[in-house]
Amino acid sequence: MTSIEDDLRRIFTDPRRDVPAWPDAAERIRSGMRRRHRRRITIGAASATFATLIAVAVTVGVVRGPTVPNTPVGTPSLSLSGVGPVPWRDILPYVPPATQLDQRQSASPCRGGELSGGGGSTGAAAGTQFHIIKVRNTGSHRCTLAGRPELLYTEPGTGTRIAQTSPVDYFAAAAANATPATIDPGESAWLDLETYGGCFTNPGQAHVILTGNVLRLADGSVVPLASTLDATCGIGMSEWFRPTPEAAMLPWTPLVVTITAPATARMGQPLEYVVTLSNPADTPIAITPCPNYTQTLASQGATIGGGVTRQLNCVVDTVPGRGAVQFEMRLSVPSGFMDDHRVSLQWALSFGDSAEPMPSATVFLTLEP
Amino acid sequence: VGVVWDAPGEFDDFVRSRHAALLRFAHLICGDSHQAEDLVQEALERAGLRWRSIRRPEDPEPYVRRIIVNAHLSFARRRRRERLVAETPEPTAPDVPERDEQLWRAVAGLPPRQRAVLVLRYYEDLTEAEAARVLGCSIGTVKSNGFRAVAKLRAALPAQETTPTGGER
Repeated sequence: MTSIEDDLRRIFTDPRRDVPAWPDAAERIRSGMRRRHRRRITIGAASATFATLIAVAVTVGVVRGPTVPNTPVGTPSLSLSGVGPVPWRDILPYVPPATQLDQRQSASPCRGGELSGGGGSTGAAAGTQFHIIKVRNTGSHRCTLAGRPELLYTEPGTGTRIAQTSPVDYFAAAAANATPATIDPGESAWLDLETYGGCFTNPGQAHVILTGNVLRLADGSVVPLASTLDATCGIGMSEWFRPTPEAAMLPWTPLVVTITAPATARMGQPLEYVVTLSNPADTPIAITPCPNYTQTLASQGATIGGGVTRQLNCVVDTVPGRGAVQFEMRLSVPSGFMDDHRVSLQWALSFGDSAEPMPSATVFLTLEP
Repeated sequence: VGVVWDAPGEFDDFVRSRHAALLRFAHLICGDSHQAEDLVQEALERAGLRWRSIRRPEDPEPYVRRIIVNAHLSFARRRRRERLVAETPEPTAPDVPERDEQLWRAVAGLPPRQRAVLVLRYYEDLTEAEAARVLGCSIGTVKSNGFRAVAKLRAALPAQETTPTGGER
């Protein structure tokens, strides 16, 4: 005679119930992670502009501070300067044709004297900070930036050191023929530097901050990176790549997103809220080409019910200098979710596979049954 | 060029060495080998993207198993409203004694949370308190679910056992 507990232990450990192991387990999981990572980037990239020469403003405050309210803001304010928000319309997302950059033979390596900083942009998604470094060919002939430069930093007392970086390839792989970056005079090559969050084991853990940072090119010349890099959780670096024309021409990436949403939402019910696109510059910013947007509910880093991408209702096509335009938003909240009722609502502009970090914002809500 | 986020090569080693055990665990939790693969895939992807934060304090495997359990319970709750036809039964494993097969099917017919409690208690050998932490519920809920589950199994199986149900270890 045996107890049911013993029977359970026996059938639970019966090798005949084994599920066959995967022959390619690591690659299978990595492949899935790539898909998730791309979705996160698409839905979560926040941006802030910066104008200094190759200035990489890396502090969390710059990236998150003014653009991402940490707490929900009560009942939506439905007007700005006396103008109501643009009504929500359910418009299917615009899918730009697949990007195929023209084939180019590698040219002679670009030298430091032929390059100048053309600005850059930063963004954040799912704990990852993206810093797109842009350098422009100011020389008189086509040249090539290939591979990854060295990232140097200054360590007090010991001088210049080479920082360890890990290869990342999402942005560079977004378009065919993007690497190496063979650029004509006037064109820019981009490079993605990533820093990460999420590796902290206790709130008091010290950050590893790199200062005096420069990129050292193959010819020994350097591209200075202003400000600092937080290397606490590692640094990722892409190869130099040539951006797609779409990425280079999107005028609305400097817009700042603010979400005004109720503090709570009901599972299984539509959530209505307002997104404000603010123009921090003095000159108007065109909302053309009309962007898509993705709204996503997530808990503990995992998306709930998948992100929903639609095209913005671009009946207003310009945000005036120092002005703002509001858009009504609507999202169906899944029912039956039970992990953690504290969820994040992310809203991000998007456009195809653009390498440019996109304006976005995140607020936190409580889901109620 | 490989894409690297938070997960170094050490994560690949973890996947290679532990995914088979995780597949088995997921199979016990959900009762379906195909869904088990989906659950493990989901759990490992999520773990990989947060690897640096989960590997340091402790063995990451309990974290991954917790994702599997909660993902299944969440999935089961969502699907409950959608299910219109009976489940396709898992094929019978070859050469399994009849009583074991009956018990397997009886376990498969339990509500997901009750089934999860049994797996955590009698496969993972967790205490009721540990099982409660994995499930995100109270010890009392674990006790009541375990009690009901065993009672249902007793009712579903031919009378055979005489040993009473054990308590908290």
